Amino acid sequence: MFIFFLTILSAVSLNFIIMKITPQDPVAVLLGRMASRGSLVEGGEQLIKLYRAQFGLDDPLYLQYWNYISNLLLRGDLGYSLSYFPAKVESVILPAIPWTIGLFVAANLISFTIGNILGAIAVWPKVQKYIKYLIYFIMPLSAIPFYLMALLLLYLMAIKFHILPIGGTFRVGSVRGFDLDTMLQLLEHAALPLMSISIGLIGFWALSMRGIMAVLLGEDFLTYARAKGLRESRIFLRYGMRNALLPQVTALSIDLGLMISGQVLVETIFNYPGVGSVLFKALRTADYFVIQGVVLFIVVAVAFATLVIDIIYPLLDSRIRYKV
Amino acid sequence: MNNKLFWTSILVVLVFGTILFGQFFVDPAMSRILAADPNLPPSLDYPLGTQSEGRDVLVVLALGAPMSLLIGLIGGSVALLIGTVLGFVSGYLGGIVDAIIRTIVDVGLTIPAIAILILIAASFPSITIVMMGLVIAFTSWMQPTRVIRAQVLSLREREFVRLAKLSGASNFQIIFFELPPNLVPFLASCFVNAVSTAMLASIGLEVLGLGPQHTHTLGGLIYQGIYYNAMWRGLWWWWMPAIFVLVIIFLVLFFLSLTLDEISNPRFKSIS
Amino acid sequence: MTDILLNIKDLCVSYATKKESLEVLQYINLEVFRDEVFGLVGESGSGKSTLASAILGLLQNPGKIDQGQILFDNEDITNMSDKNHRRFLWEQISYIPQGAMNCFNPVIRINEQFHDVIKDHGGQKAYGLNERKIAQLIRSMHLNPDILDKFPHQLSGGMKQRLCIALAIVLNPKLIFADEPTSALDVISQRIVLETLSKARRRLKSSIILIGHDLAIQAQIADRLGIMFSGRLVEIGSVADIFYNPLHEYTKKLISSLPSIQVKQNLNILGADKSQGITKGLKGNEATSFIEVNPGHLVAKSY
Repeated sequence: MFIFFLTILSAVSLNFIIMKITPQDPVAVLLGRMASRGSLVEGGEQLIKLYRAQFGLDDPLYLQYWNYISNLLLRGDLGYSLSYFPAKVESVILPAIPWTIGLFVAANLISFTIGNILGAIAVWPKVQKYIKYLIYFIMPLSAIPFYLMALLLLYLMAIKFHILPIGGTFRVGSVRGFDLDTMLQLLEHAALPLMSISIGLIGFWALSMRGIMAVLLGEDFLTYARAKGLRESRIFLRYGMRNALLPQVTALSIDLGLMISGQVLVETIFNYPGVGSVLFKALRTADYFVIQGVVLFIVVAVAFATLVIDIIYPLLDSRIRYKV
Repeated sequence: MNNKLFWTSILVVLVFGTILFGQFFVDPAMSRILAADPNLPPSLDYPLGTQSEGRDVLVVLALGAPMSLLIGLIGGSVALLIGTVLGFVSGYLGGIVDAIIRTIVDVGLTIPAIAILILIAASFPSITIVMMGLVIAFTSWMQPTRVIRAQVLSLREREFVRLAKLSGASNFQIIFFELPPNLVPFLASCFVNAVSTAMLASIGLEVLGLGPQHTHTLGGLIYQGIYYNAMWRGLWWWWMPAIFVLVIIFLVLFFLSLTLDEISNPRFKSIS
Repeated sequence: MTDILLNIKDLCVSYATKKESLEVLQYINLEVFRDEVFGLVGESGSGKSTLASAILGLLQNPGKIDQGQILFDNEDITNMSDKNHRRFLWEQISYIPQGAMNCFNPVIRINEQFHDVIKDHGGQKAYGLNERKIAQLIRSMHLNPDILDKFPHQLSGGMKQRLCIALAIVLNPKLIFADEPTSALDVISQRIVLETLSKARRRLKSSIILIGHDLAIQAQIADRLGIMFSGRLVEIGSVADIFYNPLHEYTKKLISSLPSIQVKQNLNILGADKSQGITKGLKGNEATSFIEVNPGHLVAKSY
């Protein structure tokens, strides 16, 4: 719990520090850019006034820090988006969140399940050799980062062979509703981003599970389980996987940050309307507050997920729950 | 086992050698804007064609690839260095020092590196190779620290450490002279992982357009590809080779780290 | 219906390493009767555990049975199909492991582990079991049935050992292998374990093969003993025969090495050269053809 809040505080503070170190004023940069393109900056004056007021740039540093923190944490005020002014940052980020979470949960659920099972099978005795070779073939795919996989898939599936759509979410001009057609469109469009992440992730889980299971196979209780004449499926699931998954759950909580990083890039490549795309657009237009907002969201989400896993873990491992 | 290491090393030397020395075999002048006609498909003159700005793709690739390696090396080495020092100190000394370091590591691990990286990279308009390496190291030293600390903890209780203590070696001596030799294969494995992570992160940033502006990089090539819509225009020679090289680099690093894992953890040997 | 429960004929087991084949068991010939306790005695490395593994069909790579036959209740079980073998295990022959410290699945409660075994062998009905009977079984081990709700790490070594015994007899097997069931325990726990083991056996009329190197313990509950040395059986006989009339040189040394409260004597150590002598120069089957010196008392020919 403590770690959770400490993390959020650190991330926010880090945000603040980086902002202060920045050699230039993001607002000024944006205005300058817009001016050079000859467009009139509507509400440019207001922006600068807001900015200065919010951060009280004339105030001493610690007061600025305090204002920033209290604004953010107590009022949940993330500021205004620079590209979509006068829209607030929340309105830009919030709609994208469900998309990102949906993709994240789906990809991780699929990969964690399939990957761990494959990894366990790869070292389980009495498994056909050809199955093991297949699995060993899949594992190196984890070496390819998600975004590379995304680019490859994009080229192969969407551009070259037109199997799946290039990006976005719905077919152009389609009528949406709660019907099968909409669902199918959704699936179609989410397929490539999902695959880009899952393929590599499956390889990753398979690889680590292989290591864990290899060690576990030497344990006495597994040999004993076999001596007891238990069914192979029961030994695999209740005696093998049940124990091997524990360190994997820990690994999951640690690697969440890694996965969200990959997802950001994948979303960008496929124009998938999650926070990744929002982030990318914000980067291109130097919409600094949106960038901060997205980063903050990512940090909070990951910290929260880690917290949840930390709470669930004792329920899975009785040795922690019932400390003798 | 030695066989595997041998062949993997040969592979590593071949691949990385090509990357490192390839840059000396090309004419850097061809990588400048409008050095040639733009958007030419591959031909004898320009084996990988040219891109929208008229740069020879092969030359850009040859110049950019070593940069990625360099960032990986810088980032990885610094991260490993920090990780080693902190891991050793934390693992060996224990107590309050350990508690503090561990808390920082845990918090740091929860904050996704990409978040910080993007933030930093977006704040500074132009970023150099070295800076990128350092920034990446700053966000990735936590993993090596954790892992090394765990190893040190397990080693600490072993006999030879007790013996060294009994014969009067100071903590400092033990940390820096007794423990490291036992950890060399493990540290090698960590190093490869750190470099791998650093390369991954740097290329990721470059693909987003946040990489070093004034030097050619592999990720930068891809970014330009996307920016100029090369995929849709069928200019595959622009970005395919870059991806190809990247995939090879990552695969090689992957196998290297697998092999090193086998050496440092004998339990794997009996399985594969 | 013969009295012979387990009949092993000319069993040879070897471990194949990269360089050579290591012969671990050579021409083992053994008979175990119904309703008896057979003690398998030998020092570490003599092959006792390997013999148990071979009979149970649980030899792990690179070990394999080179030749020989194992007959259980007049059925050849040397090359059973996997499916039959799985059911066979625990229903006919069960096993009590040496150190029970790590024998239970750490994340599942004890009663579920009991039920796992029962379910995979036909279910409670097939054995006339129910919650009450299982609780009874636990009580007969001098354990509180509450223990069923606990996780393995909450129990002591002695408790786990007794639970292993309970687990081994829950399906009423005809033969039970007890692999040094008391070596990891303190003296008092040893006593409890041995007593519960004997009582349970007598109730079920099953046989036990008690593997160990502690002759004193063997003497307490075994009916007959088999002495193993270096992968071969060197002597078989009743406990009285072995103790009062050891015939084989090795057996003699073994018996004499037992410290006596009454007499102070020097320790007789079997030198390396002597060990070779016992099995040297004997080829194949000849090495372990037995001579029946007295009814039921067999000695290997090398004597």
